[in-house]
Amino acid sequence: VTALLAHVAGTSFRRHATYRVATAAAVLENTVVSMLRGLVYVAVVKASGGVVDGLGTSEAITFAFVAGMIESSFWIVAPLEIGERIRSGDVITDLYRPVDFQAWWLASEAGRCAFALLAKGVPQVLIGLVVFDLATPSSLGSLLLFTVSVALSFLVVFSWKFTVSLAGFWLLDVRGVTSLAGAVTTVMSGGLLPLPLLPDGLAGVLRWLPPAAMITAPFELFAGGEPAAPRLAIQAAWAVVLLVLGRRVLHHAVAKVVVQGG
Amino acid sequence: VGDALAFVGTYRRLVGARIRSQWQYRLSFALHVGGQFAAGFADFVGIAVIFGRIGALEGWSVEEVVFLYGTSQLAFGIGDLFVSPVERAGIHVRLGTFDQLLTRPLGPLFQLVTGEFELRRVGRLLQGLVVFVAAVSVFPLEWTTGRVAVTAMAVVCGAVIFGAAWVITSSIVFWTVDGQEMANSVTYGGGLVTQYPVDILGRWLRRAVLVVPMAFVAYVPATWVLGHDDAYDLPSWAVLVTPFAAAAFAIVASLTWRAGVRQYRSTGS
Repeated sequence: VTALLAHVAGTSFRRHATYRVATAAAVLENTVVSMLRGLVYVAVVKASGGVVDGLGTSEAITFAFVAGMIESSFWIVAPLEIGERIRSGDVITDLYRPVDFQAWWLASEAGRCAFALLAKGVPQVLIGLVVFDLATPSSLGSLLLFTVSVALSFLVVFSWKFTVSLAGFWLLDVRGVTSLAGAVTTVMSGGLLPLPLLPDGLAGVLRWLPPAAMITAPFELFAGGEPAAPRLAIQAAWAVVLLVLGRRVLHHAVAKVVVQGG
Repeated sequence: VGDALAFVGTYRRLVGARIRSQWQYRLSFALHVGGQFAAGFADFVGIAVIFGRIGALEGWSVEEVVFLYGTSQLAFGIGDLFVSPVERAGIHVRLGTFDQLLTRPLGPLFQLVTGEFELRRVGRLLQGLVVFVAAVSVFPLEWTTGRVAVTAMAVVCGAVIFGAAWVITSSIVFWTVDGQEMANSVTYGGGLVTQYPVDILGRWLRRAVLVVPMAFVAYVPATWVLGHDDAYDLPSWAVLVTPFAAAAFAIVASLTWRAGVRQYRSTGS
């Protein structure tokens, strides 16, 4: 089964690696968007005295690039294809397969995200490093911890989107729910504004919730200054909780599945 | 004139059919509109939070930025509703279904903006409208005919500029096959660059948004309407360049699309 899942991930990786020109265009596009975001954050940080809750101008622009890397690779807002497959009825093929439904999608997403991270996310941060004075990991060790944090971020993003998309089994058309969830997740993750720029009380609560484990935690490990262990522990905990939750919801959904389409 | 009327008639029939079909799933439709509204509203929350922290951003007060944002969102909402369906071109190219569009007796661009019409995008437009009306009504500004006219012009031209940007970024799929992200750049990049005063950008980026005429969506008209200094030191008649910038960009879009369709080769295996 492991070999099969590895094969699924590999195929997904290659499928997305097919479009070379599109990948190059995406890097350019993501870099520009990250830069624009960063400049908004920098303007706000400057206007509020240069440093907000540990976020200086250098950290502000770094945040934009790290957030951009994660968003453009893992697609926090864009829903999984599951919703669309429930709507069209194709999901029945997925359920027929002699492989666990969640594991199949996890493998497929892992392949896509691995490619996106290497070909789009990382180059974008490298361009950011050349053009701007980013706050970078201080040692090889902290770079390694950042990598672990990015991997955990992937698990949290996947398991969160997986669970949301299962709403399709009840609603049949899940696009409204996913766009609503996307908007809320963006705000809560720091994807709209870095958490330090949000009101203090709100930021304090959001730090503990799953969306912060997607963007804010990896950023803090990248820019340094935060003890790594608690951040990683929260990320890992959410990854496990959401994966289990997704399984439970799936269990209920499959028990009542109605397949439409033909 | 007869041709134009027939054109409008066809548009209404095709879009009407889409609206009727989308209206069948009421709950789903309501959630869609809510989702679109929320997506737009999130940006507004961002501005509210920013100005909760600071009094002014590069010399722009909160009312002024909200006016800028409202104008930009309204223009974006109109463009989004009527033109952004063109971004589905990417999916048609990848699946090979673009061939079908080419065999029918209507232009593929026309078929995309009708056949992929999504009524839920009204949510985005509604959100823009709410913020825009709020901005206009709280703003202590005397609404002279000139100001009303320039604001209306800004919204219309802004919608054209956004629409053209969608057509250009969607045309890219004819060369790259997979290109959803390019279309996203209009949504995210174009949104960002028009909601905030261009003063926050560096010198080169500032010039770039004058050429790719995003600065004309809200910034240039807003500086005129509000009597605000602009980062370019433009003469006051520059606001009248807006329709020409929009028209020029639309022509570029049209040429890009045609070039793309001409060189389209069917995918498939």
